[in-house]
Amino acid sequence: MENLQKIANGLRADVLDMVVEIKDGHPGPAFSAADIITALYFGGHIHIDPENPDSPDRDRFVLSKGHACPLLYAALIRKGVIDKKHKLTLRKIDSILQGHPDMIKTPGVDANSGSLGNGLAMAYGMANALKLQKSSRYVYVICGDGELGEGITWETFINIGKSQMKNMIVFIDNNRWQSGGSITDVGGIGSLKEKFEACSLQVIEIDGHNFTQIFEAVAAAKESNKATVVIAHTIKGKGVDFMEEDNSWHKRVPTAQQYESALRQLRGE
Amino acid sequence: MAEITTRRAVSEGLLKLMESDERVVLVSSDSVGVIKAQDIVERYPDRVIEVGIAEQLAVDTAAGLAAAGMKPFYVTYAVFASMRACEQVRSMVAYPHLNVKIIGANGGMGSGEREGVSHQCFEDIGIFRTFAGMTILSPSDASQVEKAIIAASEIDDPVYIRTGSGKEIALWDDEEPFEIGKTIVRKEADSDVVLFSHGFIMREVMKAAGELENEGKSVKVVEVPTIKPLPQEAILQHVEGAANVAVVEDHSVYGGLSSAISELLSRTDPKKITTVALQDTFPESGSAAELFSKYKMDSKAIKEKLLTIM
Repeated sequence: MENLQKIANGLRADVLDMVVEIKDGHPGPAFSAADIITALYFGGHIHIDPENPDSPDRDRFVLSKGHACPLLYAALIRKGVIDKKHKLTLRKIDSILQGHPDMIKTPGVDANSGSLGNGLAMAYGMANALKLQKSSRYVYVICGDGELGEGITWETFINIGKSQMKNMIVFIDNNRWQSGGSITDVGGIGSLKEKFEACSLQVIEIDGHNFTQIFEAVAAAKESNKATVVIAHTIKGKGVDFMEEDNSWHKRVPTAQQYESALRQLRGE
Repeated sequence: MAEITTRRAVSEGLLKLMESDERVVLVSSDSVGVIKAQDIVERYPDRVIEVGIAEQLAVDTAAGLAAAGMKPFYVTYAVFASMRACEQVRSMVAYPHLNVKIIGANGGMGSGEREGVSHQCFEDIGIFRTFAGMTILSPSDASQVEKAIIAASEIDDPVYIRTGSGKEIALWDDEEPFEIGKTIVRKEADSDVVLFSHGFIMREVMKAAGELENEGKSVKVVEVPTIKPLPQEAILQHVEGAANVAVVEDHSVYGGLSSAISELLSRTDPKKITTVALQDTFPESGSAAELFSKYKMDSKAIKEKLLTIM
């Protein structure tokens, strides 16, 4: 677990390196999802062969909150799927690392996302395909909570419940913020648990920064006879004290001094 | 073959594909009935992905199926495919260039039955033509629809196939193939007017051209069932030496084949182009014949328009 924490903070530092280099990007929403992505990619859940990332026999991962993609790129670089020489090309011309995920340009990226709600919906199609192919692989998805304002997400949850798509495990990165403010004030989404239960889904609530709880949730989802949504309670900007719960870091570039301070904190210094 | 409707023709094509390739799946947004495909549901229950009345999810589901190696066909009304799910087609299908086939029924004003504007669609071609890499097919009778479905399955690209209300009549020999990218000369004529058209309004076009011929005035009629990629070289050959070009289509005057040919000729071989299409207006409920008459797109209106340039 200590090692996973180190990896997660390493990914957060990579995100900052990228954002600082291009002076653009979304550190806050990447940091809230960092521990979940780390648990999935480095905790033995997402199986992907760096030599053959397009192999049909692989687990799929869809970062439906696509604006957090520097985090996904950092994970894929660490996995050896994306060559590390690309790291600082994020959002630059000719880069394979687009501002929002592009499944054709970037190895290891399974879905276009960033247009909120659509990644989740596309993941539902992948889950249907794997089921028809009698594959034992899983489709993992991370959705933002603000993203749940998109009607298509509810079209999808209704259908995941209707078809009990058990090869699909959806995490809600419930950091309680969206671009313009709190999800209560802006989206007004209200209680999530009851909504998911009304879609006939098993709901598991966890601390999204606790690796043990993340693993237990995945195990419970796989064991359940119901399709599962994991509501992961998270902190936007998690890992850097001046970013936590400060929504201005939704999309913001740190100063040189802030960058240094953040890296020191992420290294545990 | 026994005469079938232009909608059932979609199912006939799909059944053939599903029999021969287990990767072919039908995605439905409560739209199985649109193509009278209950027998597909009964025969291949696992391969019909029914998402309910949710067109955006249907398109994304098709995208996910294609990304994972399946060959999805999604059927709905043209208006919902092109507008309700417009961004999904653009960002999740066309942008990653996925092997998704989208079939839009009730394409055109005349195919909208008596449903009215909410279920008619005369903007689809204009919208999809702007999506990079999208193939657009507009067959003109049931046999051609069925063959277009099969032809679309043979290319590994996103394809939009426009079909109708189900009421359109057979026009051509059942044995005629459907070849993507080919134009078809439907009436050869020693004329300085070349008319291009596509889809079920070809019936009105042929009637107008036939009547003109009986009056000793001839027009060359070319069907363009592939609107994108536009068969540019063939079109340029057809218009070579022609004084006038006419385009007839059951689509808005903006964005369809008329626009595509205007764009092509304006940069290669500028000619006056006369268009018969839906003007800048929303039509209404009514039979196809009544609508074509009222909105000046029937054989009479086509003939009158052609006479002004002959």
